[in-house]
Amino acid sequence: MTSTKTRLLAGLPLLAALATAGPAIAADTIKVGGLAPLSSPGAYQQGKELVLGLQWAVDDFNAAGGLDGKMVELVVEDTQGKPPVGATAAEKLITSEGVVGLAGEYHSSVCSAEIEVAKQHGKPFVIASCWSDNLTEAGYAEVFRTSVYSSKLAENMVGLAAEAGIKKVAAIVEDSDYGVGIAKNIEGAITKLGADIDFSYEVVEKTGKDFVPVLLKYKTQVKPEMIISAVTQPGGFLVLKQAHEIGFAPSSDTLFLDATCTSQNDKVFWEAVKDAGKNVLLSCPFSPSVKLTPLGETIKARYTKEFDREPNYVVLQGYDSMQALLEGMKAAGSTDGPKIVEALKTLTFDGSRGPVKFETGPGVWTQQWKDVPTFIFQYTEVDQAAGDASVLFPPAFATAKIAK
Amino acid sequence: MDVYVLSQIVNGLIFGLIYGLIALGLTIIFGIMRVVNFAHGEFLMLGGYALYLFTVTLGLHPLIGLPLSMASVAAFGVLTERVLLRPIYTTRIERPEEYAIILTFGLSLFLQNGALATAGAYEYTPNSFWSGSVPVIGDLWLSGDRLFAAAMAVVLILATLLVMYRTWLGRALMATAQSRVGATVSGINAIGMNMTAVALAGLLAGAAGALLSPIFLVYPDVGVVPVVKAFVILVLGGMGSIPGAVIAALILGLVESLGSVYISLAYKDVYSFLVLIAVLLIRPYGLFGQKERRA
Repeated sequence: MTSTKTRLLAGLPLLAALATAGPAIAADTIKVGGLAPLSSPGAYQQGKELVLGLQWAVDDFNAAGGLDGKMVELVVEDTQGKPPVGATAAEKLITSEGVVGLAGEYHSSVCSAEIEVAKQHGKPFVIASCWSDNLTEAGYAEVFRTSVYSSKLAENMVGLAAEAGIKKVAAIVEDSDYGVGIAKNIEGAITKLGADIDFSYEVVEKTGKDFVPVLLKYKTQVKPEMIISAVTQPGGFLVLKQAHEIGFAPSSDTLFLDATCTSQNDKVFWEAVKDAGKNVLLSCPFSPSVKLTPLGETIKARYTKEFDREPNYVVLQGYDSMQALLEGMKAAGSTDGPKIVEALKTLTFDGSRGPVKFETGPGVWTQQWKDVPTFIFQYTEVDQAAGDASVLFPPAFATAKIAK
Repeated sequence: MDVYVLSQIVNGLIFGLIYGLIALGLTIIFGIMRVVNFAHGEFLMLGGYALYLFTVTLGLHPLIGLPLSMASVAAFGVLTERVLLRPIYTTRIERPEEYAIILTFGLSLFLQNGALATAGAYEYTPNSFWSGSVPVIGDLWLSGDRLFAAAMAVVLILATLLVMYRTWLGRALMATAQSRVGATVSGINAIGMNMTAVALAGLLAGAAGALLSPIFLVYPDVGVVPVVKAFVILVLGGMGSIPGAVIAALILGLVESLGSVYISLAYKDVYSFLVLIAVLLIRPYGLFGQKERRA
């Protein structure tokens, strides 16, 4: 007992030193907020990658001298894939942590709640990986997006289907803003591009385990030439596994397209789905086979060295969003929210995937990086690396035709 | 009957058997110990990771990995009972039921986060028991693993019923469930019966987790959704009734499959709750439950 007491007493000066040092450290750093799903029911697998991108952008900014010598500190909150938790996390970062702005997030439904908080406090929020059109269509001055957006992905998918002469497409979409949004966007893209495609979709619970009923319906009743899965990991993997198990897709009769791009994390994908993944198509904002900017190539090399695999798109989207926030702060020469927002509106910088510039609108292009690249790839062999997947679309980048 | 509808019924029944296997362990723990085990889903998860460890990491055949996985989860269950649950019965804790709920809920979070920290966030697929797919009916092809899991579910359910109703051990367990004091007076070691119940539940949860892992993958929160279904089955069948749980599981699988065909797929998980509400309105104690008699 005595020794415990002694140890506690001995520790008191250290505690006192830490208590006084805390505010001093905080005063010397600029805090930025990172939002990501890091636990269930959120897609924590992707959240982990997202935080990595956010942190590396902060590290690089600090290595380049920070803001007038002041270092930046990333404070991350877990949003759990739940809109109320996301809103609380954003509120906490702004009011308790005193962050100058927010970057990150993966789930569109969570982003929908977070943009309201950013707007309320006049803090910039650069969305990293929420694809729903609604987010920039809302037209909030504080909200910017460096990620791809659903209508652009939908136009790519419809463009590929039309080019391949596909007449019937069916989709399985998750019950989220992203899932239902992408289905609506595909309908819109079919009309916009005047494609002769019969399209139908079914909404499923993203936490579901058994997708055989819907797959059986498609296999026997609908008989599409292409099935699009907009269900995030791990549900998306189960959709593919079960489509393969019932002898439906991918097959010579029915193509399988992963609209979420979660299959791009090749080692995880092949470990999970094994031979069901052969000939799967992926709609992605990035591929290791596509040339990146010098910054992007540096990130790719760093990731490959550290994890012995090539990065997926989420790391780059995370990096770009945080880089935008930090460059905005630098351009504003201030940590004041409204000043950063104004600076972001006219900002141009070289991101990991190209020169980033935010449009003024209209609609989905409001403060959106309009020219954000996006592609459709195909794994043609089991255990194929993402970097070796064929590029199918857009035609300017295509390296192969669809394999069945 | 339309072959398509028939194939959906067959798929529903097969999935019902799998639900039954998932719910069985939960039913036994509640039936014997009156403990609602919120960590049951994580027991399933441990079964899946154990099978991965035995079949992929150590290279054992899945048929050897299965009993080893069951034994591992049973051992973990016994440890849980010894360290965490036993104070409910051996000390004078106020509101022991609430204590058990908070404790097992905390254990659930601990195991999920422990898996996240040790195995990582990603999905794993243990080696298959029966690779490939087989035609079942019409256009319905199912994976060998799914059929194997359903067949094993039948075997394990029958074995459990046999143990519970045809052996001295089963009678002792049921006697303890009816009256701990009465069982003790009759010479039954009630504490030992608790440990036996948790071990049995662990064996079944380990089996369910291992059998389902090649089908539904293994990841830290893989047990979260199945355990919700298991709770529905537990209540629907009558709290603690093993035959009730089996019947309720089959009903659930069937209702979900047919609801998906005739109503909408979007509400697949809602159907189970609708059935539960409808049954509880007519039979508040579930299909096979009985009004508890209190002295």
